[in-house]
Amino acid sequence: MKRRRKTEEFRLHLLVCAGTGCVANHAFDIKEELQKEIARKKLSDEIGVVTTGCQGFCERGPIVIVQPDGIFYQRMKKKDIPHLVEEHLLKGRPVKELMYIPSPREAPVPKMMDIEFFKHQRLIILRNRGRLDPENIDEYIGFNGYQALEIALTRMTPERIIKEVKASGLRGRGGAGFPTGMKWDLCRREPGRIKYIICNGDEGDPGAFMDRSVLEADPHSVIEGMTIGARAISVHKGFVYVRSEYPLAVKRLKIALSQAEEYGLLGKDILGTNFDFDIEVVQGAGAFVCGEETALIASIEGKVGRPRQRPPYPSEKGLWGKPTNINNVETWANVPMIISRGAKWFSSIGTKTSKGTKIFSLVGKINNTGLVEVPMGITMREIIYDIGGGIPQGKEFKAVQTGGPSGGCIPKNMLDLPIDYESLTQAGSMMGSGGMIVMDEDTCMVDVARYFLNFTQEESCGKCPPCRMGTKHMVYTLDRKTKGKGREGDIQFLESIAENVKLSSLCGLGQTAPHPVLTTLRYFRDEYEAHIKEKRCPALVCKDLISYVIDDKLCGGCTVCAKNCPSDAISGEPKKIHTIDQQKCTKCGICITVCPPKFNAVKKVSPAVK
Amino acid sequence: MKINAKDLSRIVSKYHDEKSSLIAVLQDVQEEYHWLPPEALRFVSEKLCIPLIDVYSVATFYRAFSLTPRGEHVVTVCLGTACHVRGAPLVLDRIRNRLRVEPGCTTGDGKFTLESVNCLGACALAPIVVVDGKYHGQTTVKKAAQIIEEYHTKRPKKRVTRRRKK
Amino acid sequence: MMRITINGKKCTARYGETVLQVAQRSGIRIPTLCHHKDLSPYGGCRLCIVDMKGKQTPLTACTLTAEDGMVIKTDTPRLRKLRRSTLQLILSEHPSACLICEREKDCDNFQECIKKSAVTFGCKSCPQNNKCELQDLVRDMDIKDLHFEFRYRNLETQRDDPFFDRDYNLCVLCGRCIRACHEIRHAHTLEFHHRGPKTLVGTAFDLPHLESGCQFCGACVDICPTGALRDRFSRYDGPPERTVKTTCMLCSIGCAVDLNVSNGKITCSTPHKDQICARGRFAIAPIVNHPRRITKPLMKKRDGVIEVEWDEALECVSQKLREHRNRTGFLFSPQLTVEAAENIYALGGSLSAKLAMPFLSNVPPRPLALSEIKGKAAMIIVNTDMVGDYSVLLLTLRRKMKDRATFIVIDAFARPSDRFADTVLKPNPGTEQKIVDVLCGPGRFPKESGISAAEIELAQRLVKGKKVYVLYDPSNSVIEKSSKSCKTFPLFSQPNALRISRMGFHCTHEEMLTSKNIDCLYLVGVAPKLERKYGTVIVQDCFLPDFDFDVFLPAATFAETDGQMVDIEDRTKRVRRAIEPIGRAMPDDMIVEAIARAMDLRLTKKSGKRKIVTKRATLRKTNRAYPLRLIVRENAYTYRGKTLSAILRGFDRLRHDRSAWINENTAKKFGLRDGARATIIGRRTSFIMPVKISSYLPQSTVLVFDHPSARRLKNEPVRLECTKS
Repeated sequence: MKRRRKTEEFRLHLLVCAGTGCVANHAFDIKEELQKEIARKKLSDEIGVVTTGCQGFCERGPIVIVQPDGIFYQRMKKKDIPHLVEEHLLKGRPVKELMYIPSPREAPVPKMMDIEFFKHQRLIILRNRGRLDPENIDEYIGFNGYQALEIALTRMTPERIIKEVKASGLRGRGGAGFPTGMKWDLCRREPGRIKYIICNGDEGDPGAFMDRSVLEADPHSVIEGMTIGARAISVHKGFVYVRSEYPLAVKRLKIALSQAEEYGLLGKDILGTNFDFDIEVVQGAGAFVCGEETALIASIEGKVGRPRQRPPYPSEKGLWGKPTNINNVETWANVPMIISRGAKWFSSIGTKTSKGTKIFSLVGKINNTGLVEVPMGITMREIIYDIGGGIPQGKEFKAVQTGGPSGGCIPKNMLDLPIDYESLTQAGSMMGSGGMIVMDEDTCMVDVARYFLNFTQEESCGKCPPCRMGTKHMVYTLDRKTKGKGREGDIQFLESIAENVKLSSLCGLGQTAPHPVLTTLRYFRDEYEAHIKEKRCPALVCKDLISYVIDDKLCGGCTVCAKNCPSDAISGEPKKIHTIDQQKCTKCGICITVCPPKFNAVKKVSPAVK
Repeated sequence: MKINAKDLSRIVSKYHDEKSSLIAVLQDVQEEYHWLPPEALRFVSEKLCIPLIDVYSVATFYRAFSLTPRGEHVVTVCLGTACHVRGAPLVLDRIRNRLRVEPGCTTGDGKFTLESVNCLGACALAPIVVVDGKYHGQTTVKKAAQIIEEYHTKRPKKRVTRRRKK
Repeated sequence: MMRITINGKKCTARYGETVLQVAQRSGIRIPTLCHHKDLSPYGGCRLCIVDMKGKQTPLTACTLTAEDGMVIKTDTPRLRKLRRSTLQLILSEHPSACLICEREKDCDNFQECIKKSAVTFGCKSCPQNNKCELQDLVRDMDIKDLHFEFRYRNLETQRDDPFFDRDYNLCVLCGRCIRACHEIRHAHTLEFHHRGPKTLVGTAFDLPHLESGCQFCGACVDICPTGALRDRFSRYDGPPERTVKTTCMLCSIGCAVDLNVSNGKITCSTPHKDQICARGRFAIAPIVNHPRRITKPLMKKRDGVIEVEWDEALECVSQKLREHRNRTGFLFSPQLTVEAAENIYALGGSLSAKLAMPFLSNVPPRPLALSEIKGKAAMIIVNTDMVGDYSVLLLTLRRKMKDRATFIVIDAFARPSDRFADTVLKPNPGTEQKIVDVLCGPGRFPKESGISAAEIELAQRLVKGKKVYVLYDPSNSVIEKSSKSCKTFPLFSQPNALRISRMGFHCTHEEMLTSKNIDCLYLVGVAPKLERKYGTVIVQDCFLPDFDFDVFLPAATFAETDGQMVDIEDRTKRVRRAIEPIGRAMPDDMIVEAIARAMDLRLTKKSGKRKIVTKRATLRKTNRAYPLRLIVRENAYTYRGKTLSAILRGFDRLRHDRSAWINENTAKKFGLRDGARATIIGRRTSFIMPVKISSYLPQSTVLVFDHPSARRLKNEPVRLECTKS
């Protein structure tokens, strides 16, 4: 075994965020450069560079944090590194230019814990994010990791564990919110010796990446949670099903599994308690429907992921026909904290029906894109404005979409809604896995509904007609509207298909597929009507309902737009007013992006100019 | 398409000829060839004792598998929700017009394969275009065209069939 | 017993029954499309949704297991609305001109509408018209107009396969064909592929069924609720006016089939409750209605062969028989009814004529006693194409044994379809017995078999601790019992083998054809190769023979005959006449009776003296002049002496049984291409055949299916020569 360097050996630690967001922004290059620079300055013995899991503040990636000072550097570039090493690491003067600056007028915020984005969060599941190297089990153990496992295995009976989880009020974080303890109990009571547990990491909702982040930042917490669950249900084999789009998560999970096994925390005779448990990683292959539990089971069996009718539920007949308990990544990651700190503590957080915290991925038209963990019961407004920093460019907030393709859009007047399972369902949306997509005035709600329906339509497994054809016909109808061919009665038509798809589809995918349409119809009916009656897209998004025009008063005749137009639709000579030939225009939108801000002459109008 | 029985045997035996590992086997085969040649599917079907139709069914069901050869460069446009609201459809349109292929298809000269993906989970960078595994964040319509041009002139990296140590 | 309430009606449910089953048993109708009583529940079509007390969302009755005290409602306004809406969605991907046309009622009678929908869009041209389950549902739910825009899939109809067409534009993706193919037939030919709205049913890579391991049993065609899968022969015949249950006489299994009759014509044959094979499904109706069938008596006169009346033909036959008396030889097919065989025996007996054994056999027939096969069993199948020739028997065995049986196939010519077995051993021809010995008891490791010790060991492990049953076709090879723990069962592909062998015979086929004491041949349903001239040749058959004859008596097929047949288990089964014999054809037994009447003979039961004794074949060694071994296999795809491929084109493509099979290396060695004509030369005779190149054949062998010339070279070394056309 390679000797792992002890944390105490260094004077300073540089924690480089290596979540997918930062990695995509070349975080590994930054790390390499840092190490090189540190070596050049002969500081290698004093300063350690560690990659950590996702910090959550992806908007500002790549992120480097200097510990123990807690200085937060963001949007790092390769060229900044010599300066940073020279100033901060050698001379001890933090570099202001690289710190987080909320807005041009404000002063930089040096410390991580003072940044608004982090200040309001309550970290339970993500407690270890960004503070430990996910590829090193010692660091996890150093932060009290596997303590809960020890308690559960040596001091608690399986019944006690289940009782504790039941008392904590933990509910499934995958979407439907079924009480976890009850689920375990059902599976435990099922006769038969061979049972399985599965960790569902097939996070398919577009715009949601909390499971990925947990697996990348703290894989051991999931392993620990699963092992405790296995003990409670008396299972000796577990599976983690991870989306194929998450290679980094798979890699880290596999490393974590082998390390846990090496330490005797997994495998045969765990902690000398005679309890055996083994975990296998299974990769998906790109099918959203595999997030549905029966489809996921089929997929693990190596088959096509087509759901089957429940009952029987997996707890009776699951993987290879044996009783199976499925929870998602976030749910499992909650378990160790419940065991080590007690159900009472856990249930003190949250609302009456929904306990604990929930991770949301805050994306879309928002200043601080990223991952946030907040206690249940927090309001939308707090998340979007306090943590998220509001809407960019001072635009107007319009709606927030939660629950992915199964959820719905929540409008502005419901911003003060406290978030829990029930309130979201009541609003027509759902908790889902925790995607939160913020939309501003430039977002067309009909287009958003069409987007989600198109998604479910493509991801439908094709087994039952309501989902296979119902979603397709809904897409046709919505498509027609965005193309200016909407008809009177389309709204009623949509509502009637939606009702059928919702009630008679086989699995959750179909049953929830109409939610995006139903909620947008409920809160933004006027937009639908504008599309149908006036052939107008109020948000200026639907291509066939808008035209690009050049404002004569503003055009400076700089010819930039004409030069950039790929379809030669703009005519005009230098210093003269340009015009767009609507016949030739393909509405690609290049002209609007290239028009110099001093003129800002290209405008979108709706309805389209004939 | 010539397949190498030795490579395929190695992949299959890595999973102990286990029927349930079909998806994993196909993933490895795809990594080897960048697509799933029919001969390879036949081979896998025989080795794992799974009827060919079941292998075909799995290969067509999952998005990750391609039954047609892919181009030298694979251009993936993320159409996740975050990317969508930040203008990914326009970006896709631009690339589609530039390459003259629909998503999922390969250009006639075999240079580019255009694909769309439902979410890469890197929403902070939205809209994202990935070319040959390299992320291009905050893409605009204009930038999209530039990215394609860049690869148009670039010679593809020679694909060396990876040989793992035994 | 459990009690559940459906629509206020108290019903009793057995353990494990679904709500749909309980409802159907109690006379409550729940519409469904994807459900079929023989298949596992699917829950795909969403039409059988019901409301259960305590549940908000509707549940599918076909997947819902009944539990005590359940309260179910099947017919609420909400359910009706949802069902109608779902059916509308189904109709949006299925051409529906035939379903909702307002002039539909009068169409059959008047065809008043000139604006017929295009053929592809259904209307009256759909082969499933009037027997379509979708039509029934539309009628039941009273759907008059379509809510959704129709999306035609615009796929080409696939007509490349024998026997049936596939038009997936009409498919409603109920998955019944797939489940029938997997669950009932274990064939794995069909499956869903792609997903979402692009989901389709099909074969791997959309290959034709011929290349996808299809057995052409027709189970998928019969189970399809729409016209997506259609029997090509009967596609325009509409629903049958009546069906007649009879027994298929094309092989020894004797499956129960329903002959569908419309307008006095047999349109097709479908399984009666259980399963049938390609022969029973796709051969019977085409044989009965064959354009080359002869249905009038013929006589050779001075100016050639002419049609005559029955009286004249019978008069002539009786005169000839009287003339030749004991110098007459009777050759007849085992595919006649028991009554016909008995009459032939009686007629021959009263003339003191010679009767030839109607089939080849090296062992005395024994009934296949399925009741003896029980417990944990290892079934060893030797040199027998179980899937091709005995598929229904194999299904019965698998169903009976569930997962308690292991299957081992021993055959140098094991086909891809033999992969149903747990292991397949491909020994050198002639060493099969030695392998059975080593598997069943303390035998010497048969090195000469060419099988590796590891393979033998694997097979031994499969056999260990189990009762061993050896099934073999005796015309291919004879396997003897090798230890007490092992039982052998010879399988005879011809019907009535057991009954006829008990009746005895005077000589074999070959003996009769080479005998100098025969002047007159009376051939009933056989077409041997005649080596010399005879004084008189009388033929009683359905098709013309390829040699000269004096009288031809048109026989009825078994579909036009009443009688009995004896199956492989020695059970007597009824054969029923579905229609009057076509033209002036007559059932075989009645023809013989008429001859006896014309000759004033009283037919009494007679039997021959010789019985069948076990005879093991020896293989001659190959040499330089004759480097290949000719293996002749029984052809179980025959009717009255003719191979089905010779009369029905589809069987030719399915079986290639009129070709000599060789492997690629042999083909290269002799310079032969697939389909080329080759002369197969042995020491005693030679014959010409096209060759079929196949990868599963071993080196240095030629495989042909039984036919008169090949029979003389059985087990002999041969060589091939390319024949210049």
